[in-house]
Amino acid sequence: MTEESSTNGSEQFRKFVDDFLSTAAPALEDVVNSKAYGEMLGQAVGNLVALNRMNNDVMDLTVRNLRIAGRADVVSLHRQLARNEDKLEMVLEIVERIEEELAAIRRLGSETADRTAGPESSPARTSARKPTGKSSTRSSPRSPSDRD
Amino acid sequence: MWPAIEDMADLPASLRTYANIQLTTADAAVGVSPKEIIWTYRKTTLYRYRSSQRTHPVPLLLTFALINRPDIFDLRPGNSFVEFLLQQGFDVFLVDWGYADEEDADTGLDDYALEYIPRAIREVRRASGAEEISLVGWCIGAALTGMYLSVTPGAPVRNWVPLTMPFDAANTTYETLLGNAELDLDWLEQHAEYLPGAYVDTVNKMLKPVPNYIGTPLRLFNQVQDGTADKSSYQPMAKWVADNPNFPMRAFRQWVTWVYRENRLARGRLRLRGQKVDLSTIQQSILVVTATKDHIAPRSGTMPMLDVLTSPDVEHLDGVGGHIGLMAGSRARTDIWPRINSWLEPRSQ
Repeated sequence: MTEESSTNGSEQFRKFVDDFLSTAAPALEDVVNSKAYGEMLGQAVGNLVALNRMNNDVMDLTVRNLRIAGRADVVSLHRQLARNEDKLEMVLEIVERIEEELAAIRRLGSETADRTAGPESSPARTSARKPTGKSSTRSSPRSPSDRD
Repeated sequence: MWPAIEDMADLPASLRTYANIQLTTADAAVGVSPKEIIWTYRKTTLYRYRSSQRTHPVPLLLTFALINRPDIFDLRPGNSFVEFLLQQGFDVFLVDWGYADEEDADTGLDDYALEYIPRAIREVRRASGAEEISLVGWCIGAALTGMYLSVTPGAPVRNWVPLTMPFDAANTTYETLLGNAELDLDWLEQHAEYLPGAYVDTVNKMLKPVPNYIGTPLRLFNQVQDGTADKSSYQPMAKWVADNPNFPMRAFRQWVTWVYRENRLARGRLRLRGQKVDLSTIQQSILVVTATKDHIAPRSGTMPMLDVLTSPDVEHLDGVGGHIGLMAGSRARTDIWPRINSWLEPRSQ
């Protein structure tokens, strides 16, 4: 009987916790769905972002005063790299466009030659996309900005 | 009395095991299917998964949200959508947006939709030799791919699968949370380069505070006490949940303003670099997937999209589960994945 009551005790405790949580859950979700919570959240986000920024600025100043490259320096380098990648990507797109135009011109040229040669000429070649078969890192520039 | 003492005696062991599971979660293997880097651009990486059984000529490109990691597509061996797709003979690619930082402050949704995605598609075609691909987007990934397709009528995409895509934000919790004036987006954009991932994660978890902060750890503890805890199942998901990239500030501002405050997608008022985003122009084959218990992108917010789409081949697939559980839960393998595969397979020849 003692064993039974102990087992029942554990199960009862779990049931109590489950019942409590199943009551608390919808109540808390109602709170989260409220306008007041949304306003509190908006203020909290602003405060946390401000604190984060202050912390980062202090850390960065400390590091820079030690004559060590700080976060701002790394970010500046990152941005320069990103600009280079944008330019490369732009060049890649231009090169691809030129390749496609050349392929179209060649196709047109061979079709014209076939027509001139007569009905027994060889069939026109068609260009096909060829898989590279190997991985490559392509980092290229953004196209000129036409962003709003 | 003795069983009660036994229970108390077991408690330290249970606590030790519980602590061990929690403390070693960071070591869990997530996203381990073999893959190669095909292309990188800024923080973004395009992967191709290795396979010796590619039978479908149309490759798949998986895109996830900007918050949380795309490893959810490949959570763990035995519960990996990527693994499943590879077994079905697909050529699978995945675009990883990376971890945003200060230098990405000016990256917006238009950049992802009009530069990153088209370039990724270009590289998928180059690597696979295919003329057309299938585009799978999940959550924000679905919205970005939808934006891209809307303004790119000749896109080399045959099929589009938006998973739990936020479309109509009217009367949603996020509209209430993000629509109030206290969230000063102008101030945020001036003073922060990104919204830390931890903040975004906290806001999302607070939508269901009891299950997320008490229910999950308590359930694990009960399982430890009962001897039924499955470390290999718990840890990968826990690790993925805790891995939160930052949200670039310009993209965050656009997401909140366009999708939640002004509901531009549903109202047909969204423009990207002057081009109107109109989902009705998408003519690819479309499989709209919703989740019955999704509280992040509620089903009721995605269903209106079906009234807008005019493609001759549109289907709706309603899966059981939450926003993430739909595709990564225990039932996904036997339920939603085969259904997606049944739809994709004939359209990938």
